[in-house]
Amino acid sequence: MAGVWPEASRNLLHFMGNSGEPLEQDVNQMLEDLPEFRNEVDGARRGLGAAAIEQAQQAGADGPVTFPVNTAWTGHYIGEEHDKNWFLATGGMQYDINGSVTVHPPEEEGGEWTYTMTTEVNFRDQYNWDGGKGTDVLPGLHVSDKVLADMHRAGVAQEFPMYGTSDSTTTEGP
Amino acid sequence: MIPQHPRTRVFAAGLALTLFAGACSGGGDEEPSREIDTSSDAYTEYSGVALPQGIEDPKIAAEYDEFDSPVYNVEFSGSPEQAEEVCEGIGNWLPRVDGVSEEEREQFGISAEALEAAGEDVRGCSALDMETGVQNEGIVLYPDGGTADVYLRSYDLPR
Repeated sequence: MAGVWPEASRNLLHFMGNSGEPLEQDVNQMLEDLPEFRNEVDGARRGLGAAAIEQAQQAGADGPVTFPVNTAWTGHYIGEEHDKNWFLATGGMQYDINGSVTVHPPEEEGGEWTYTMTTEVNFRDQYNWDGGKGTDVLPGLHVSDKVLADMHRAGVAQEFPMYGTSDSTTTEGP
Repeated sequence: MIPQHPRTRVFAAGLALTLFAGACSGGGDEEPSREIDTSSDAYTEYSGVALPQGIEDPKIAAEYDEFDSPVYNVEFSGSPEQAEEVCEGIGNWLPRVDGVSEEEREQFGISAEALEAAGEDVRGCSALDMETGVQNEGIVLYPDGGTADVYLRSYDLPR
């Protein structure tokens, strides 16, 4: 399991360790492994760039203007069908995007407005389990979420906060 | 403590879980009520999203998802200002540069005709209500200059 599902294994072991201590997650790896998540983040970045251009145009900017970027926390669900490793490691999670965007007015009249954006993705979630669900962690070994939730309630394992931040990424657009 | 290979530790964890599963078996999950209130008030109470005053006959539908949690779909037409009011309230109110995918069109209950008839300007919003764990999402289409068609979707973010 550790070789095939490294993050799921690591998080389960931390849960079983019963410390409740926060555990950092590799958000760069998450973005690499999960194309749906990556596309969602990229789409949000393009939207942020377009919104910044609109704002700069409305303000009548005639030179580069920089805005901060700080999105609201958004949910994203990693289903079993997307990636079993991350499904078991986190499942439903939250992310936001922080950084800044600089809008560049066209150098010639009628030219294109462009932006340069440097942002990072923050992740957070609670490692916890729902009743009524379950998964096959190994052939022939089905573990229900209820069992894991019961372990937390019984004090033999402990849920814990997960967090992480990606590297900064610079994008340009439109 | 004797160091263990990760796989050994995971096997031990799996064994412990199997044993614990035996120890903790029993006790059924309660069946949720199958009736979902689709009034505006019930939607607002669930999602925290207040629909604008004065909009006519919002269409509100709801069903259970695979986790037996409610999923609300709401559709109404209003002014661009009303659409903005709702989506600013949800959060992350942004242009959707990539438009609307086929999967999103189906999830939000947007007809292909409505999507085709709308202009290229598509906006959206999406954020998690941190208190309730409900994810609220919206897509706004502009079929003409003075009208905004708003499609909302609210659901419990699975753990």
